[in-house]
Amino acid sequence: MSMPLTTDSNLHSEVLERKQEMRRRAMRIRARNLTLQALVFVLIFGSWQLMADYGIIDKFFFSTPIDIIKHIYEWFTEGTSQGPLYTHFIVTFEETFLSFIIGVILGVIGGFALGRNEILSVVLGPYIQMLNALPRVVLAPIFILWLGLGMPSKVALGVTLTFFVVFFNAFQGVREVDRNLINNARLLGASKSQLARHVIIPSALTWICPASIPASASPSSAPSSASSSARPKVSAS
Amino acid sequence: MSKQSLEWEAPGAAVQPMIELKGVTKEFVKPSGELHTVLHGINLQVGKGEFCSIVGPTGCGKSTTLSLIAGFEPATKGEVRIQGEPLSGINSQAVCMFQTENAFPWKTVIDNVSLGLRLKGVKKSEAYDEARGWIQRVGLKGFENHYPHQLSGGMRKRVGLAQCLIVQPKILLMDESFSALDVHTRHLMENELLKIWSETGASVVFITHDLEEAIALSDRVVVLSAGPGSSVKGNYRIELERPRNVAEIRFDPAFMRIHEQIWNDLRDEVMISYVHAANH
Repeated sequence: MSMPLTTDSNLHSEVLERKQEMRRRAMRIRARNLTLQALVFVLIFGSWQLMADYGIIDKFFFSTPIDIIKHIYEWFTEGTSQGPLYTHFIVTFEETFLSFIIGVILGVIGGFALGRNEILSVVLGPYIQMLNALPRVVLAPIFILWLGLGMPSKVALGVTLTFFVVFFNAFQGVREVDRNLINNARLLGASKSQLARHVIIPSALTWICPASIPASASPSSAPSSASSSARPKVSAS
Repeated sequence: MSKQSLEWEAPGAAVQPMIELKGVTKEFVKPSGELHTVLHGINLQVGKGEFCSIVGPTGCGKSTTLSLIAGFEPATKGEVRIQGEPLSGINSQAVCMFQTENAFPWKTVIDNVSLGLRLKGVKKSEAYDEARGWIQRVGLKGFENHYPHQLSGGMRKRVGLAQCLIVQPKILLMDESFSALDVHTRHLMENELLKIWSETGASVVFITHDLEEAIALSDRVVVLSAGPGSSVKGNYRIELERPRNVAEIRFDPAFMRIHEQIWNDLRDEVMISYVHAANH
């Protein structure tokens, strides 16, 4: 006879006991992590505040956390020197939204066109790479000279940030569609447009979607656009 | 059993084969500019409703043979005929189960299975009804609205099988379809494949490097020689009774005899391909 697989430790009460023990352990780990995070917070901002208070660092250049919070509070309650805070917020939001939409549309169209068309990608590819290699920050003054200080120059800058990330992902997404899936659909009788609708576009979307959200949400991450095209595919599979 | 009795002979001209490869040669231009011959002068016939396996060592062009039959790419020389008609472009009679995934990850099981019908313009409700029948047939009832990533590897293969067979193909191509599965799941799938295949009457071309799998499933096993420039080295009838149990047929003395004989042929080719691999 073989050894019994179940022992009396599987009694109902013991199972409950073990469950509770595991839950307690998970709670302890969470509590520890939160404590450490809070500790680091206190350490950084506390030392900043103290160093400024004791004159170790110059308050004029470094300010203090408390002063910053006070100032933000004033902006909320009394408005900034150029009008209430929410108008600034709306303008910034508008700029972000516009550059996101324009960048995504241009990026998707460009990526699909170059991904599907060998000639286009051979001819235009190097120029797109060159433009992408430009640091975005140097474009800011140029856009201001061309488009003025208003919204258009900022939207243009935002578009250059969003476009390349989306473009490279759409391009790669179209290129990297599983050959077997394409062949499978062809054998099952897909026409060219059906192939695009059922296979190529959905497959490329798994590349484009995760790319476009951080691209616009953090316009400061400009240099990431080149590296993100090499990012491993995030898809359902 | 003598070798003679095992050797397969082409049927007379009266019987039209489902698939016929006539002197097919396939060459590629390597990036270095050299010409690489994958297949050289392949002659092969697969009858209607026949289950034919192609075995051979790594790099002998098994998958290339399959993609020629599927019409993914044209032959450099010679011709591929389907029901007597020369094939140009994609083979509309064939479907293929790939080694990797057949199921589209962004479609649910029922959308995957019904895809072939939907592409042909069948109404959604009718396609779904038909698909439900096939989903039940491959044992996935209740998983209609799951996505492939929610299923196990064996279940995804079932989706692939249903997706292929729903269009009632005359030819089912299988490119090492089960090689990624664990051995128990594999035997289960193979038995199920045989059961469903026997009800459809489709011709099957099964590519594998596993000789046991080939013998257990097939009516005929074709051995390709080691590449480059592979050709048909042996062609064996497998006269084992059907229905077969793939997991147990390996213990049948007749199976072992056949296995030993074909392996004698295959072994030389495997050794040649080892030497090739070592020299590169």
